[in-house]
Parts: sequence; structure tokens; C-alpha cells
Amino acid sequence: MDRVLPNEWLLQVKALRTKFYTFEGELDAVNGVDLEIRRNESVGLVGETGCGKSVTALSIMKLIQDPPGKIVSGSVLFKGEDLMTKGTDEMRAIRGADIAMIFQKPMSSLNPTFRIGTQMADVISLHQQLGKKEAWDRAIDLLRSVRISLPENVVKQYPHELSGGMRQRVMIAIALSSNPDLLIADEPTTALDATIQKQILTLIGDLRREFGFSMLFISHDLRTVYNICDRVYVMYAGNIVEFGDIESVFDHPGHPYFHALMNSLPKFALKNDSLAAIPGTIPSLLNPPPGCRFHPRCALALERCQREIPLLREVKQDHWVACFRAM
Amino acid sequence: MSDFIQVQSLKKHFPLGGGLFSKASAEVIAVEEVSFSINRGETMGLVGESGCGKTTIGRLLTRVIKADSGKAFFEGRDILSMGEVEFRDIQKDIQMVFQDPQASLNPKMTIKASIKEPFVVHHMYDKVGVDDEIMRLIRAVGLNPEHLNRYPRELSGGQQQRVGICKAIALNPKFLILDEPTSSLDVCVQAQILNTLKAIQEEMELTYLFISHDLSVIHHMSDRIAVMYLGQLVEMAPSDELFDSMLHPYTQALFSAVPTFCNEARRFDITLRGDVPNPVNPPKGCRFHPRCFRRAKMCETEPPPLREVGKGHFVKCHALE
Amino acid sequence: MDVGEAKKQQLRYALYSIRKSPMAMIGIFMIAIVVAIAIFAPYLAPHPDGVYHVNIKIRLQAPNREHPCGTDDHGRDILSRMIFGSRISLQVALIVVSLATLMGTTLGLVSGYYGGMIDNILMRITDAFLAFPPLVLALCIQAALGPSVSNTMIALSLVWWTWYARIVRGQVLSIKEELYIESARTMGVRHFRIMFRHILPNCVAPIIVQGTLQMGYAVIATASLGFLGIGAQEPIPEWGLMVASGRSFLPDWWWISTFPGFAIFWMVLGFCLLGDATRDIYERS
Repeated sequence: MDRVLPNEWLLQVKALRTKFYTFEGELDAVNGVDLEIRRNESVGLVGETGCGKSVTALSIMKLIQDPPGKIVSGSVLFKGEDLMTKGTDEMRAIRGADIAMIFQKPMSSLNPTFRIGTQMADVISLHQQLGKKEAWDRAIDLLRSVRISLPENVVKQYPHELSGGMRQRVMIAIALSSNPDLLIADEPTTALDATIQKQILTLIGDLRREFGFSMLFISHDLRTVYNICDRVYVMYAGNIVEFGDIESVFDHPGHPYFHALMNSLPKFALKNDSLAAIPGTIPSLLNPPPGCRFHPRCALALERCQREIPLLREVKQDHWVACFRAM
Repeated sequence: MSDFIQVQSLKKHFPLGGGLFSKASAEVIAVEEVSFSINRGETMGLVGESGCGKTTIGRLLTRVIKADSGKAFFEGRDILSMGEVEFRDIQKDIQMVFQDPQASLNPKMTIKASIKEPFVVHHMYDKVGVDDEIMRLIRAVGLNPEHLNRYPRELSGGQQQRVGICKAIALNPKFLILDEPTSSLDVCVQAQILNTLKAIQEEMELTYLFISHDLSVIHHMSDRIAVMYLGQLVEMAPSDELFDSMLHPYTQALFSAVPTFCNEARRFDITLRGDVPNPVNPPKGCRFHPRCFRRAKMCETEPPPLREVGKGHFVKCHALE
Repeated sequence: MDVGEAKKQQLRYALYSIRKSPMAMIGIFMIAIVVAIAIFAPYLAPHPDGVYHVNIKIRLQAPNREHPCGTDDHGRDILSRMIFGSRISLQVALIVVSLATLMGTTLGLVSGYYGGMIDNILMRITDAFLAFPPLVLALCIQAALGPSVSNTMIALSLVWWTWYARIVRGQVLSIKEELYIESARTMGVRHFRIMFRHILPNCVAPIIVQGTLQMGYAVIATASLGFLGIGAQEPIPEWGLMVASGRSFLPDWWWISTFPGFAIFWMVLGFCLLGDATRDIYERS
């Protein structure tokens, strides 16, 4: 894993709060999240279903549907400017050009009634002033850069004629068409087969070296994140509970949740009779527990944990944990 | 050979196209010449990527779909050639836990009704007895009595899967087919469910066929593992033996596709080129040859036989000769 | 065993959806009024015996205090006739929709579940029925059976079951591929039980929506057949028949056709709004 030396801050999210107003009540999906990404850096955002990682990404891009969701407070500084102050047109210019996003199911992101070339040319000409022919040529070039063989044929095909891996490559090509500074990838390989996953992840790594963009890689697959990211943020029930350098966090988890999560994974090294499962279930975001949201399931919970919310503090160099009993 | 489950030359093709008056234009070769055996009390892991036929095998064994040819002996009797009435007796002994826990539960039935269904259907309906039995079952899988009156959509994924397991073990089966039981669940829930499955296996003396695409889970659960590619069995061995010395190039590629943690050894780093081929027109000769990094001339024309290369270790590959 | 939180939650959500939609509230109100009128007809009608009793002396009276909707050419009080007529319209609507639903749903279930030859045959029969404009077919059946309210009900049912068969079959085709059906089959559930205990409850939503909307159509159809003279016969106070009998008295003695016409409008509009509301509720849940 090549590490390009990062320099300045590209993205700084501060105290982001997003809520959903539903029939059952108010949902605290993102509860005060701070997140930073430097240039040329690959940052992972991990957590389980419902922890708020996808909502965080959509909030950064201001893609939250209002109603029922609403970005309540916080700032998102991108290259020094707060995206929260930007209007619809300004955001539209930024999305796809400076910040691009790819999603889990490439079939849902592509319009089944248009050819690949048409869709790519649409996006390309939206952000760069190119004529129809030039846009198509650029599309073919982009497909070549994502290692699709015979791109001249692929541009003429429809999405359903391509395999899952190919479609995801097309999505990556579209995302990179305007040379973005930041790529947000939300579970891009989860729906793909293992051998294809490896291809796509290798491709993403190569492209990062080639084009030099930063990446926010969102996933619940800890193994993948470990192998592709430089730093990682761990989310639980809407909060960041741990973050820092990837090796430090994964090899020596400080937060009891992440520590327990790593322990509950089946590993190749040893064969146990049973896995160390975390008891209980993820709390409801409608009525989250007071204090630290993990305390009902935590083996190390103190009385204090039920009242106070622990803040993130640096327990080691570039390793922060939000826990009174950081290990 | 096993006296419990012995599958021989199982084959299933799905015709494409065709209709009332025309013949099918092409076929999807879902399962081709698959043979394996499972001993009583063990867990056989079946691993492979999408389209390899592993789910189809499960459905062939429960007779939800009809095999084209081949035999499947369950305690000495071929369940594939039995009539419907004869099979109904054995049906209680072979049950399945499904991949999508929510989709496997009828959204209009309460949990209690869903779990009671197997008893009603097999006329084991004695009002007092059944209620007690249901209580015992839900405790065994880790559910609470208050879940009984709920509907599936009110439960979490993990709880839904526990209900699925409950339904499957309600009639005290001997053989359980687990079709990717934890693939759609979160990591910490997965650990809980796998533990539950191991516990009830011991308690009820069950035999498992564990189907998954996740190698780490298969490694954890299985005594023996079979690797499938494009409808065929390419390698089969006891679990430890397979991980110590995997021989088939595809198995090696599959294993290297799993990202590892720092304390896990990585022995291969193979990235396959090209896509998974179309099951409608599988390659001639060895089906893996177009993507194989060890292919020889012979592989393009001659399908390799499945040979035993070690104790209980079978491989389908020319490169070992 | 209590009903469970789910049912209560469902009910609360349904009521919440209804309250949010003014159209739904209006529809329910309109139908509720008709139902109330039908139930309490003998008490509400100002001249209950004036429904059938002929009294030439007071014929063709314009709306007045005694007879708020006037009298017809036989001297019968129109308002009372309208009130009792509501029973007929409601009755026909309910019975026709019930029969059509029963027949259509059963056939649709069997057809969709078994597929193959059975499906082919049943669908071709359905196609045959659907090829005729519904009213024309009902007309022919009525003409064959003879004019009366009960024959109207039979005729309409025989024509309308096809809609339900189609809808249910479509639902069954997709539901039967669902994982919970495969789970039931793996458990050994027999075909009959799968159809009625597992598949049918999941088909219910479009049946109810269609049924509610069709109640309105049933009223119109009955009125149309009555108007044409082949449905209800004199002296039954069926609304369509009343409109027809007042035709030759237009426009001077306008009240004879107009008020029953308005009643038809009210009831049909009410059912349409109710049907829309039902569809919205099901779509939202």
C-alpha cells in the first residue's frame, strides 16, 4: 500500500448534525460528527447498518431529502469554503466536478434506457464545455483508463449488457471524468463477487496514484478498509467513537465497541468454537440511550457512562477515542 | 462415501427462451456433474462466487426445483427420484435457512403463526403441546416471548434470522441447509447467529450444509469445504487441509481476494483478469481456463477429471499432473 | 394473546393518513351519510307509505314543505323514494362487488399459482369476457335472464369478476417467487394452503382498493340499466329508473329526474373518493 505524503486539509467537517423527522418521531442520524480528509489521502468510514455513515456522506454532498431529513447544524469546509452556505446551483457545480460519489449498486445509478456513452457524455459535457463528439471521445478515453477493454464497443452498450464489475468501472469513470479532488465511495464493492472486488479495489488504488484524488471510503467490510485506507473513522449510532491512523486503530482498538467488533470477526489465524459476539443490538435512534450510546452493551461501562457523553481524546499519536475507559 | 448424505452427478440446466411452441434457444448450466458426501454431524461448507451454482444445489436437495439428472441419497434413499407422497415423510428431516431473513418470513403472519406453521402442516397440532414447544424453540435461538406477537418488519435482521432458524428446527430435522445465513447481516449480529448455529448443532445433533461466499465464515464453521466454479466442483477437502494446501488455481485466487488483517498470513496474491464468464456459454475444456494463470494447451479442450490427491482432498485440475 | 403493537400502530397510521387527506375525509363522510340513510330509511323518510302508494291528487307537485323534493306523476313523494332507493343501490353495490371479488379472486389465485394449461385456459376465458364493453355484456345477460334487480346483480357479477381475476393473478405471479413461499414449500405446506393462507393475505390491498372503486361503478351501472328499462322495474324506487321516468317531464317538472340524479352523483363521487383514499393508505404503508 503506497502512502503518498498528505499535506493540507481538503475536507473539514465540524459538528455535523442531521436529523430525520418521521411519523414515529425524531431520528438523530448524525449526532455531531467531526471528520477531516487531507489531500491525497484515503480515509475510511466504518460502522454497521444504521450507524449514520451513509447519511454523513450524503450530508457532506447536501443530498439529504428535505423532508423528511434536515441538516440541522455544522459546517463542511471544502477547500476552505463552507458548503453549508452554498446555494443549489453552486452545489450542483461542485458535485460531480470537485466532489464525486459512487454508490453500492451501480445498476441503480445508471439509467437502463440510455447507452453508456450517452450517459457519460451527459455528465462530461455538464461540467466541461465539450461538444458531443469530444464528449464521446473523452468517454472512451475514460473507459480505457479504468481498464475496460474495447471501450469503443462498451460506449454503445446498455447498462444491462454489462456485468456488475464493468458497471462499477463505468461509474468510477464517470466519477473521475472531471478530475475531482475528492471521491466519496459508499460501499462500492459490497455487491460484487470477491475476485471482482479485488480487481476494482486494485483499480481504485492505481487510479488514486495516477490522478491524485482523496477518497472517503464508506464500508462495513473491515478487511477491505484495512487494506485500502490510510486513516479510519469508526461510527456507532450517529457518533464517531474512534478515529486515527489505520494500523493503530485496527491493531490496537481503543474503544470497547471497536475492540469487541474486531474480536467478533471470524479470522483465518485461529479456529475457535465460538466468536466473541457483542451482546444486545444497535440502539434505536429514536430513543438513544443517555450518555454514551454504547454503554448498555459495554462490558466496561461505568456509572459515569450513563450520564455523560465521552468526548474524543488523543490516546496515542494520531489515534483518538471517545471513551472514559479507553484501552 | 457416506451413509448419511451422498450426492452423485447432480445436474441442473435452466433453458432460456422457448415457449409453448418453440424449443429453448440456450441453456444456463447451473449445476454440472456435482458429487459429494456429508457425514452425520459434520458441517460441509460450500463456497463460490455468484452464479457458481451453490444456492441451486441447496434448492435441488429440498426439491424446490427439480434436478435434471443425478442422485441424492439421504440415509440410503434417493430423495430425487421419490414421489411426492414418499418424500413428504422425509421432508421434515431436511430443512433450510434462507439468505434474506426478512424476505423468508410472510409479512402478513405474526412470528408465532410463522413458527407454528410447520406443526400445523404436519398435523402435529396438539394445542397445549405446541405452545410449549414454541416457547422452548424461541429460547433456544435467543428470542423473547414478546417477539411472538410481532410482525417480521418490526424485528431487526438478526432477530428475523433467528425466527428463520426456529422455523427450520421446529420439526427436529436431521439435516439443515444454510444458504448464506449471515450474508445480509451486520458483523456483530453475524457473530451472534453463528454462535447460535453452532450451539444448536451440538444440542440437536444436526448436520449442516453451509453455503457462503465468505471464506472467513466458511473457515470458521466448516469441517469440510467444497469450492465451486461455474456449476462445477473444483476442489474439496477437509477445512484445515484446504487452508494449508489449496491446490486449484481458482481456490488460490478466491483466497487471495479476501483482504487480510496484519496477523493473518497471506500466501498468494493473485488478481484474476477478466470477468466471470457467462454461464450460458461456458468455456470448453476446463471452465476456468480463460482466467487461469497456470493454463496449458490441454486445458482448452479437455475437461479435467476430479481426482483424489490426498486423504479426502479432491481437485479438478490438469496442472497437478 | 393480545393483538400486538403492530396492529395498533397500523391502525394509528391509517387514521393519520386519512386525516391528512381532505379528499379521503370527504369521501368517508359522503358514504357514511348514504349508509346511515339506508339503515334508518323508515325513520327518515317523511312519507314512508308514499313510496309505493299512488295518489293522483298530489301528483307533479313542485318541491314544497310537505314534499321537499316534490312528487312524481304518480303522486309519490320523491324524497321518500330516494331514501328507500339508497338501500337498493347499496345492496346491489355490495353484493355485486362481493360476488365478483369471490369469483375473480379464486380464479385468479388458481390461475396464477398453477400456471401452465390451467392459466392459459382461464386467462383466455377472461379475455373473452373482457373483450366486450362491460355494459353491453351486462345488457345481453339481463336481456336473457329478464329484467329485475337480482338479475342485474348476477349480470354485473358475471362481467366484473374478470378484473379481479386479472389483478389477483398478476399479484400471485410475483408473490409466488418470494422467499417466504419457498420457505413454506420447503416446510411441506400443501398447494391449497399456500394459495389461501400464504399468498392471498398478501394480495388483499389491490383487491380492496379495486373493490371500493367498483362500488361506485356498480351504482352507475345499476342506474344505467335501470334507466334503460332492463334493470329494476316499476314501482321499485331505484334511482336510475326514477331518472328515466322523469325524462318525459323535463324541463318543466325538473325535480323528478334531477333529485335522483343528484343522489347517484353523490354516492358515486363518495365511493370514488373513498377508493382513492384506500389506495393512498395502502400505498403509504
